[in-house]
Amino acid sequence: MDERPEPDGRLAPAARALWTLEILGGGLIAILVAFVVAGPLRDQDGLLHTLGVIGPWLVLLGVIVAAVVVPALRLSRWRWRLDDDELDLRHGTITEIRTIVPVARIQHVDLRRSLWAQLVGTVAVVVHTAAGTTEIPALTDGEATLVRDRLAGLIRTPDEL
Amino acid sequence: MSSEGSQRLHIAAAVSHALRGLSDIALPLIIGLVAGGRSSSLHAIGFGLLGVVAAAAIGIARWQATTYRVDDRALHFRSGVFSPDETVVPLERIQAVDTIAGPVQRLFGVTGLHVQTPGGGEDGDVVLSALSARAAADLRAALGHADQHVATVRRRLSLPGLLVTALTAPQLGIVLPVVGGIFGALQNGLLGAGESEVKNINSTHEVVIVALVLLLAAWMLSFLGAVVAFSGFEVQHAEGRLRIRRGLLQRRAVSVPAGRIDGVEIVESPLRRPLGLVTLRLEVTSLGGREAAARTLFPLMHRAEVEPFLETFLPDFAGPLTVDERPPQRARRRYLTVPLVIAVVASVALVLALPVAWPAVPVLLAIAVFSGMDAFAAGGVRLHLDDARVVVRARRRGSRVTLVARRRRLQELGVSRSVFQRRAGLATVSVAVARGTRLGVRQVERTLAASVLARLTATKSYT
Repeated sequence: MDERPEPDGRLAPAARALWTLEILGGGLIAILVAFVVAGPLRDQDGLLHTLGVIGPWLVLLGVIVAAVVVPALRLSRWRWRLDDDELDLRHGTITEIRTIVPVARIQHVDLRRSLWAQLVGTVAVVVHTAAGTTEIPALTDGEATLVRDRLAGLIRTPDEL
Repeated sequence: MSSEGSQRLHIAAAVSHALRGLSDIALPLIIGLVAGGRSSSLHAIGFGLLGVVAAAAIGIARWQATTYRVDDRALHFRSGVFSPDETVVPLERIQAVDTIAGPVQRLFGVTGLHVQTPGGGEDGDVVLSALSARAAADLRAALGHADQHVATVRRRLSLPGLLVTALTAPQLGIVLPVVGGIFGALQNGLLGAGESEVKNINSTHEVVIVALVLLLAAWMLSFLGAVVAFSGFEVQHAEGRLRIRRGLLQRRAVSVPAGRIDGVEIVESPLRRPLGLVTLRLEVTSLGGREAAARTLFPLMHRAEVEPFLETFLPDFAGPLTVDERPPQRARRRYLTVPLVIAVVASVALVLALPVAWPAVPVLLAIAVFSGMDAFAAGGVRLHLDDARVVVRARRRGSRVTLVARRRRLQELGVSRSVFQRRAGLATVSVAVARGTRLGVRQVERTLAASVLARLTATKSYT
């Protein structure tokens, strides 16, 4: 049976810090909402009262656990590889997703630095094809530039145009 | 046509310009009339006449200022009254010359020509809005794009075909919620007592009648829409190009180089499939903004006609359409899980909200079982090393879809495995073509997914 080798490139280790920041940032809003909603719930009786008392703390706990566990899992699962023909990505913990983008179909490449990414010093490489975008979420500055330059060299105008 | 000397368009172009000018000033004119409506109707007529005269004058001036000429290297197109623009299109850059036949053109018995350049889109292309048949033929000849009256093969949508297309139009699903919304709004607005009316509709009988009325209204709308869109549908094949014409009010024509076509989709929608009818759609990556016009390759044909049709019109995609790699028997129950869960949740919600609707529950469950079994029966891949195509078949939003794509032109290839699939040794494979059309087959053997990954991409092989 023919089999394609799994990609082996890892993301920048700082991706962990990046995702932790992202989850905490998003979670903060959820926590605030939970505390605001819980206020009137505590005036109710029975089950709703209990929910109003412990609910927001459960949300808080959930966000903290997610911020610790998810980035580590995600980082340990993420692999990528770029050769002359394809960009090959594999990621996902519960559902493992493998995506292969032929280099010949790539139209252009962006390097994206979000606010969080600038804080931890990672760069996302976003690859555009006619069908949509695919991204490597966090590489070190040097690696990202290498990937971009390599892709820029590989992308040519299709002959049949 | 002599290659020297500039030519004007047919005078019908002035009418076309004037009408466009009139539609531009129509809104301010109407507002003016309504605002000053109290004075007298004589004023109103005066303003209207003034508008028409002004529009006619502008139309004639623009017609006078618009000229074109062809020399041995390029098409020169000049337009604009106050600031004349000259567009020069080198002959070798001209990708296609399409015919436009809108209402004005047909009224005067003239044709418009649309000179297409790669990546030209709406702005880069030259549009000659009205030419006599003779001038159009001359210009085409001078541009080296003579009219394809020599088209080798063509196929038209017959009148019965159009009627069946319209009766089974898939737009039904889009139109129905809109009609439902309008109905709801009307009920609230007209009766003024939406609340009590809604309460009145409580017996099963009335619910069914309301549903039938809505369905009929939606069907009528979708019927009319399809008639307008697909009237006179015709596809021709000549010199490596497909030319597609369609439309009742606005005749649209588009020309697609066969080499630009990445895939063909054979869609069997729920209403057409029992009749053995299919729709063919084109998957094209870039056509300078004209992709939407080239979406439908042919609106309606019998399933058995597809293979001969492809052989004649698109030989690159001809070949067997059957899928030989299928999900294994043990995957069958997994196809039922998701629709059944959805049906159960929907049933519970429905009965809680509207207890009288309980007869819908067995229907929902039956639909779930049917769609799951059908998805299992539909799913499959055809992938042969000696075939430049890949065939993927799956159920998508109720329709059975067969995608035939150039293997070397796939945009993206995906394999995903959930926890459950990993334990069962199964996987989901999907391909994306052209501008993001995705089709995936769920629950295939992991080994098949691996070989799809290995074979469907670059020239190198993993052994």
